[in-house]
Amino acid sequence: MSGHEGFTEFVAARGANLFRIAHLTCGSRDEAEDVLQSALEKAYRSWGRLHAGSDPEPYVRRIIVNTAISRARRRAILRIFLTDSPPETPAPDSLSGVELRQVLIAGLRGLPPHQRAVLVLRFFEDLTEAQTAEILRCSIGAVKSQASKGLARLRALIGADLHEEEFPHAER
Amino acid sequence: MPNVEHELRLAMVEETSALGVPPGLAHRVAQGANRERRARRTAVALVAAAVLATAVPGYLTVTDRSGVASPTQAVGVDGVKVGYLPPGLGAPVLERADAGGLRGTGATWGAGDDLVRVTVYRDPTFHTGGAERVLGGIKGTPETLPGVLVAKVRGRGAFTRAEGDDLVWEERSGLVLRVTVGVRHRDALRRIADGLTPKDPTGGVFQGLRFTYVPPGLHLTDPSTVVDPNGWTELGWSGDNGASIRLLAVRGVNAADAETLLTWARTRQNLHTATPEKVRGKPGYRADGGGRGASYSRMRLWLEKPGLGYVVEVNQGLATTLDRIVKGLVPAEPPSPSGKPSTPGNTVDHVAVASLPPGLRRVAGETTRLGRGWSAKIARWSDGSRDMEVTVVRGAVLHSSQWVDEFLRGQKRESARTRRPPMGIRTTDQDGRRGIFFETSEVAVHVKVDPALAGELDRIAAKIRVPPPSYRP
Repeated sequence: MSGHEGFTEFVAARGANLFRIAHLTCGSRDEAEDVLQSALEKAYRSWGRLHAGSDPEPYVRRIIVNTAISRARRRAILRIFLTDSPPETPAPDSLSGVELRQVLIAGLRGLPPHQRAVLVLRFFEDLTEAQTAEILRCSIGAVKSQASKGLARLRALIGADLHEEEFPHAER
Repeated sequence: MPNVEHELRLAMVEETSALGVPPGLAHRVAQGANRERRARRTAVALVAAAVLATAVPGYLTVTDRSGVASPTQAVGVDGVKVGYLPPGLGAPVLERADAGGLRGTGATWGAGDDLVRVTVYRDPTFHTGGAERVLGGIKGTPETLPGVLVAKVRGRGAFTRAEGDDLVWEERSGLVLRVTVGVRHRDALRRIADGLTPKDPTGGVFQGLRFTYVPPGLHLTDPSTVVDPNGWTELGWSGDNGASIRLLAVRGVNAADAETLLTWARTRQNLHTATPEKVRGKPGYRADGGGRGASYSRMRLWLEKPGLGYVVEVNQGLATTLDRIVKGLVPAEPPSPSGKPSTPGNTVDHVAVASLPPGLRRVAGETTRLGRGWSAKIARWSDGSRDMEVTVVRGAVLHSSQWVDEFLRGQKRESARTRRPPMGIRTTDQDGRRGIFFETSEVAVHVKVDPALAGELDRIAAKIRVPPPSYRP
């Protein structure tokens, strides 16, 4: 199998999942497509150097997440107004089901890019704190702290009692 | 109470469950990667070419990617290179786009959500505050600018809108750039803006010199003139953390010799210590100046010729680059008055004398006159019995009425400036020689003729060709 065929097969097999990560970390479909494409272009150029038989997905995932963070930060400089912050007023307690999850997605989009990436990697990709830290090139402590802050903001958003929630400190 | 982690997991799964692999993704990726490879190879070739063509500053060429990385048809917009555009936009439509009282030229690719527009506004009178004026002139944007946010483009103050689809900034005095994009290209707004480069980013010819090296991260501020008898003209660059470069041109008696230039710099430029040293092969000084701390500066000053001295000053942070900056200054002539090479026999300090009475020949040698804040070159033509002279004056004081009075002292003047061509002040000196005196933005010219040639004066003066302003915004 040639390198190009191998790459095409990888995109067919893992493209959807990578696209979902990009969508969650970027916050918009258009941007996610763009980020995914540029991440895959980088991977394609290095395809021959990627160790034969190793899984290229973590490599591509790392590019996606870091590209999304860096783009969001650039955009945040432009948009110094507060669209990146979720509303501070808690939603009614009656939120549940689809409505609740819509609020959570909106809140996720409003989190700072690094915090958002931590939550996506921890709770969508189910990565450990150590794996998340490796992708984001930060310490495990930073992952814990960012996840804690991100979840706290989401809890505040849906009106959940912070003390009733247990944050998973242990490694999975 | 809901479990946030659990609900967040479900929310993320729900949000993305309908997403599949975008159609044709692998193919587009392969195409894009190959295109990038080609672009990199071409960029390497451009850099190599720049090294061979030593007159071209390398640091400018390395970043020039126009028309290379994108299949979109790139164009220059009124002298501004468009270095990056998203792919697949096709050919642009060029149109006039005046706004805020500035002359505008727009290039538009695509439409609606797919729109990318680059607009170049020029104000030949070099007013400041161009970006605000453009914003004030945008239809639907109130002049009080609600909803407009402050941003930065390469260190320059800029304005954008909350939607992130419009960015406008003053690239340099008299030149305002604007990028407007549709929804699909909002993420490309910054990259497009960063890729816009005026064709002569070094500021062009300035007082006989041209920069070929400026450290990265600095941008041209503007040329300015301090108008007083001890005034000077300067070109400035600035960047983050107070980084700055100034090139000063000093004319007249203050630059009669190197020692006088040093004295002037001590009193006018806060120079405090200096060591004699040849600079660019001319008599000059290595010096320190400015204040304490961040305003501490390093200088080089030298006498280019009697009546013209230069000072280059950088802030402390750029001290290690000062010698390279000075070495990178190259002598440069202003643009030719006619756009064609001038005939040396009929030019005086780059001002062309295009019409001469029959039989007159140039008298060998030129005379130099120095005044406070000005220097002049005087050339003569004669046929043995009749003669004429043309004086070309340069200097910071040129536009002060006091200077005109001083310069024309002893000559009879018509009470007012004539409104008929050639416009200027008509003069008669003590020997009855008739003359016309006029000024442009960078020089003043005084033509004087023998009484026997008085009938030729208007034609001679009308055919004097002055170079266009060397600084083009």
